Amino acid sequence: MPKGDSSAACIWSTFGSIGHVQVKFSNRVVVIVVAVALSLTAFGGCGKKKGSSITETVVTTGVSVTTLDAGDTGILEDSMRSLDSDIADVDKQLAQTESDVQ
Amino acid sequence: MRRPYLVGAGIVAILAVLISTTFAGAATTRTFPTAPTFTRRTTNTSIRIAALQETGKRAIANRMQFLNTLTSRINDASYLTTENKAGLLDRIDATKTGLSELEGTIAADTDTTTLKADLRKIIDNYRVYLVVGPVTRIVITADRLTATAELFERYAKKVSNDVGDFELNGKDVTDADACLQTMNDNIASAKSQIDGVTADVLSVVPAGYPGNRKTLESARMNIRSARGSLVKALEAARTCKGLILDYRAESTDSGVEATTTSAY
Repeated sequence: MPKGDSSAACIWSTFGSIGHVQVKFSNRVVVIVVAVALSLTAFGGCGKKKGSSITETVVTTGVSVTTLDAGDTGILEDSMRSLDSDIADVDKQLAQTESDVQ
Repeated sequence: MRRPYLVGAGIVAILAVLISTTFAGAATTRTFPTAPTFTRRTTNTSIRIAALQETGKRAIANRMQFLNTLTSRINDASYLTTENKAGLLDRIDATKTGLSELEGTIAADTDTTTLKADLRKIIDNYRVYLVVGPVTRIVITADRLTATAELFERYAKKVSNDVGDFELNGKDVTDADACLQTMNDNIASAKSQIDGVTADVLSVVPAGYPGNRKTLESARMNIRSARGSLVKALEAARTCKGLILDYRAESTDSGVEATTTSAY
């Protein structure tokens, strides 16, 4: 079995999500859909452990609260870049005078 | 044959007519210069007032546009505290209302002295670029900094959990403890440097300018110092991550299964 424990569910989910499309096509499409689902598993698309989604972590809570995940350091770096951008705005604003922009 | 006295009388009559015509013309010419000069002066004043009003209108429009940009920036800043967001938006709304009323006053002004005084109020009473703009930007940045420091705290907590797990498995985690300490010290330092900055900056109002500019400058320095501390915390975070990866690799090599569930 590939890494992780949710591969079967993921394959089923992938198959199910596009399964209804194949009704409109020939039977050969079914083979292709299964192949795509298996490829996703092989490349790790379906093999990740539950709860390791970086995207989910970023969108919901930033750095989550249990143990380090892939991408946590990246989140800090992104946040620092945004901070630098804000600081640059402050510098620009404080350098301005009323007569600069009448 | 004509008589000489008749010729003389004719000449006198012609001269009389010429003289009377000349004097009448001169009188008309003398009255004309006064009227055109008065009209031109009135017209020039009207043109000047209209030009000044237009200048004021443009200056207010520029500020309104700038305030709208600030409003968008505030609404986009999801990390702003509810209180600070409301405070900044209230300040901008009040400024816009005041400028709108001033625009009406300026449009109704009829003499240049009053008009010039009202135009000066666009700058002195509202300080859109020198107070409202910087205050908004600094509060946004301070709250971003606080939110970033909280991200670092969560990261440090996770490092602490992982290091604790390895320690339980008998791993020597002296290096990881040291980098974790560096991280925590710098996060605490950043939070301390930013503490109170928002409250100080929100107390800066146009009426106190330029005396209160030093509060804005001081806030900027505190933000820069806090940012410097977070840069050090980030360096420590990278070191901690590297160490934990090493611990995991060593645990795998030695066949010891670590209890940590980290996935890098």
